[in-house]
Amino acid sequence: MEEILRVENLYLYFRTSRGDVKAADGVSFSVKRGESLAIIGESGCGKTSLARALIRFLPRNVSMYKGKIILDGIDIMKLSDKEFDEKIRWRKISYVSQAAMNSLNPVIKIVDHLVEPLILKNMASKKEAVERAREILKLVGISEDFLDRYPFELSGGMRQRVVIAISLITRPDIVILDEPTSALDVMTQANIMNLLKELKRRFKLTYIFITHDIGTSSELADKVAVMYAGKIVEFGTAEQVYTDPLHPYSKALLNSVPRLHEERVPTFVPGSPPSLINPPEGCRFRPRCPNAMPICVKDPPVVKIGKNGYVKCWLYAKK
Amino acid sequence: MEFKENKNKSLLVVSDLKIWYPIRKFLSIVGYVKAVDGVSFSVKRGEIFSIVGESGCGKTTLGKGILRLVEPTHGKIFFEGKDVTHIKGKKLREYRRMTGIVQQDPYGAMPPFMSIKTILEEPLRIHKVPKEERNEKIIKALEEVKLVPPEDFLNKYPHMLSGGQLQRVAIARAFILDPKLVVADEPVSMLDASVRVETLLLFKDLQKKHGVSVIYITHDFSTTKYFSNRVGVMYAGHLVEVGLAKEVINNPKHPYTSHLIKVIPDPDPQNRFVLKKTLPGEPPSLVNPPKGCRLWPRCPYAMDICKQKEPPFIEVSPNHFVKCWLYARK
Amino acid sequence: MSARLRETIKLLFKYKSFVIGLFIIMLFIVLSAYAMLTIPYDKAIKMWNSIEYWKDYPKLAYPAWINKFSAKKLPEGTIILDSRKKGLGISKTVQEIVFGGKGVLININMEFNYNYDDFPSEVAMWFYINTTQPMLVKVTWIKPDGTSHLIYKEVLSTYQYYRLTGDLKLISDFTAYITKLLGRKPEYQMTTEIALFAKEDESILSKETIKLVKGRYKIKIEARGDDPNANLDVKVDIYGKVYGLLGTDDKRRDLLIGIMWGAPLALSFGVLASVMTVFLQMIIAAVGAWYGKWVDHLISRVNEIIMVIPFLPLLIMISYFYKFSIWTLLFVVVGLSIFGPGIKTYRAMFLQVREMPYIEAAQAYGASNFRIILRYMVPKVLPTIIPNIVLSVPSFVFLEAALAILGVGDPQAITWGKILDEAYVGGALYWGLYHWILAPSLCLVLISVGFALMGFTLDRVFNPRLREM
Repeated sequence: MEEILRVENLYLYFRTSRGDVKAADGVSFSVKRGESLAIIGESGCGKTSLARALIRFLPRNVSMYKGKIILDGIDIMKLSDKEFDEKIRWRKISYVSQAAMNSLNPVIKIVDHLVEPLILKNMASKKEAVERAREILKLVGISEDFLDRYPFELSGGMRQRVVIAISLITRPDIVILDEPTSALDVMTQANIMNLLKELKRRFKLTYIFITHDIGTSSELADKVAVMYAGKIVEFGTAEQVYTDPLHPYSKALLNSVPRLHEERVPTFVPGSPPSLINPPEGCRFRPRCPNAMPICVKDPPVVKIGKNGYVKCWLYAKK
Repeated sequence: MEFKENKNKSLLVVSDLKIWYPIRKFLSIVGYVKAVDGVSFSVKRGEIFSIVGESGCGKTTLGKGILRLVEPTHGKIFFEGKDVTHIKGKKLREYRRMTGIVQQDPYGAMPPFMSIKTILEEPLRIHKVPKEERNEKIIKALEEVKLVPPEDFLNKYPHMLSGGQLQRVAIARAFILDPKLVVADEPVSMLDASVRVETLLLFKDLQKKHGVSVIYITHDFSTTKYFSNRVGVMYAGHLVEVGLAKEVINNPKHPYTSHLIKVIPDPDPQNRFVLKKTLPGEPPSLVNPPKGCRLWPRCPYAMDICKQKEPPFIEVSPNHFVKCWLYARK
Repeated sequence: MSARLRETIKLLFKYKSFVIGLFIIMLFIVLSAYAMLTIPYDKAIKMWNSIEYWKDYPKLAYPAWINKFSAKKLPEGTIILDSRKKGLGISKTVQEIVFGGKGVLININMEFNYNYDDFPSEVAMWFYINTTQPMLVKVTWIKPDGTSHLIYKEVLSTYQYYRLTGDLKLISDFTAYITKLLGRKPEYQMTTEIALFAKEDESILSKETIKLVKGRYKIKIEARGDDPNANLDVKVDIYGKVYGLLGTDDKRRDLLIGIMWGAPLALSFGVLASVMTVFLQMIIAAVGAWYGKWVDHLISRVNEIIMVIPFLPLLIMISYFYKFSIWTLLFVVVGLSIFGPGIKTYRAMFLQVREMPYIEAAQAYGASNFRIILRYMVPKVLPTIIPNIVLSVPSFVFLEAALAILGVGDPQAITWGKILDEAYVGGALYWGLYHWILAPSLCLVLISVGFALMGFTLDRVFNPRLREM
């Protein structure tokens, strides 16, 4: 499998009345085609901003946006906004935003939601687009009767399937899923995850799956990136991160998940994640870290682990 | 439904409780949303009883009904042996003094224009706790939920605190009148994952210390393992399984419970290779629920009798009850 | 609460619009305070509505300061010559007649300087006579250049008011005199003031060339009667054309006093009406939203029905049967204003607040309905409503003015609206007395601008969504 996406030192800051929010602060990772990367972290760690940085859905008050995003060999950061819109968005990368199922336009029929990306990207005529819509609706497990219905006539789970269909109808290579199931019941969640697994297998899709639900993230993840306060503190294979996490925060995060099928008692780390406006000097986790050392006031190095993984922690730096 | 529980041993006994919301068109009623449709259970003194279910199953309504925040349509609620189902006035106020609530949204649960001190003082004022005692109780309450030093928090306003801290204020507020029963409706779902466990453990500490019974309503089965003694599983307005938490989790009997348990993912890298076995479809509408057992349209074990008659509550092992025809002895 | 309040006030002052608005309103408050302290309300009303009090003021006078901008100096105020008051230029002698029967001869001499560039607006005389027998009274008018005229010769036995202005006999006599003197008829209709003050040469024949004689004028009054104890006093008023800061109206009233007293009335009417209306709307909306079901239904339907009834025609209708005092008007206006979109809007707000978790929590720990409405719902909604209160003050101020112009309203009250109404009826525009209209209008506009500026800033501050703009 070849590498389809490589992100190097991506920065996204935006300006607020209280200072710059450093949502993504030098983020790097890579994904292979057909692979799925889970970005896990708590709310406020910057993962949604990271997702939006990848597809260039930027707020108006951006104060810094730089780095490299190499998609299939091309650095898409260098493209103009117009080129990005025409060539990348919904062509190579599509996006399912948090609780997208609640932002379907209530006065537009399902079929019109689905054909819109095709029409806007000039990928099909109206007639072809409707055909494609029919196919893709079947693919996500919804009867074609629903083409002419309105969003309010569908249940939450069905609406989320529609949103996934919208993200797939232009046959992108990469789909960014930002908390795609957090507003759904556990059972419906499992159904959607099953669907995503199926689609991935069938169309060799690459997923970037962002969530704070550690358990659910393991349903799709081939690779895992743990995010804390705007930085990725650990990046590695699912096997490595879920079973033997290296970074103290990854450890704490995984230990705090209550496990239904295991006998572990969850533990917690006192304190709360720092604000992205004035994060602590050096390692951001230092104020809460049980293994904090004096050197942690300096920004920790990126220590390579395995073939493509790394951990950003002084504990693993070679002295 | 018959309830053989000794009304005197249990703090709370709920008997065939139904809470139906009328659907009004202009001035006439055209139907009912049967949010709670015949639920019976009891809660002992000092016990934590979880009610688990997915959204729309009626668990929140049940919690509100027990606290008399919605009016029961049918059935009875007994508190300390006394019928509190339709009490009003002074008796209701007394009941309110002995019960407390912790809600899901910490920011929504606090009046934004009141200081923390005022928020904690309100219940004391309403129940005419003498002025001299109030300050002491407020300081003690803050100390118990580890918001220290308490003086630092008295004059702050809700928007100045984090979600976790505010939820602790909510817990303090629920305990400040020394209640006998606290209903906590999804108390940690809106908090950061790293703060959830901490908050629940704090809650448990307080509960043990005060000997308070807690009804813990959640959709997250995994937390019930550490945070409750017994658990009741709700589906479409019915309790389908009740038993000790560990027992129900390790040995679920009802088809809904067993599917629910299997479907909940622990962080396991092997999950991605496996398609989870789920129940097809979705929970039924509460306006026109299916006849008989509510799960039959989705249940892989549905039999003819399931489609016609509502199953009884069957004790499959000591104190483990299941509402399912599979366990009825023919 | 006070920390938050201080924070909010500091934030408000950061906005220029608030500071300017507040400044304007403070000006009016100071003006109101001054008005209320110098002339108490009852006295003001009596004064304003009495003809007697303003007797000596010029009618329809322009503001005095226009003299600064005009080459022609218009006569200012009124020259009052009263023989009852000892003063310069006035002398009175009383002689008893011994020869030819009993009687009395009274001579009053009055002198005054007239150096203005324009003629007076009016001249009038009052004869205060105390006698048992009629007296023959003669008045001679002597101009500075020596010309004199017998302008009045009458037998009087009691008090007499003689308005020289508009006296056709005096005018026609004088016109005849001039015609004879100069051999030609004047080209225009002469007036008393011209007769009394103009230079009697060729220039008097044409209106363009009239010259006014400046200098010391003399008025000789001689009265002869058979009652030796009779007494005569004379008052002469020579009315000017300008007066004071804002001139006078057709009832000779100093407009400054009217405008001054309009301020506290406008402020109190506007603020009271606004506060009362909004508060009542809020309480009604809260009760409806909280108790729901038939209570809510009832309130909403009653509101809708009354809302449809036209407000203004109803008021006008009622005013035909009952005269409103300004305070009755306030209550009626508030009563009718309550029912309208206000209740609907606030009800919607309360319905939203009712669903908030903290309301449920309050119920759970035993708060009564009353407590929840007053201590939990109202404070949440109040910040959003406060801008409404401030912003609706101008509409009530204008409403009162409009009602005054329509004739509905307190006929005795001193309000800007009433002044405007009188200006309209008194033909201010026709006579070019712009100050009469501008003074109240500008006040109305200014006070509205003041409240509007404050209100918009409050809206920005209390509605955080707008703050980012």
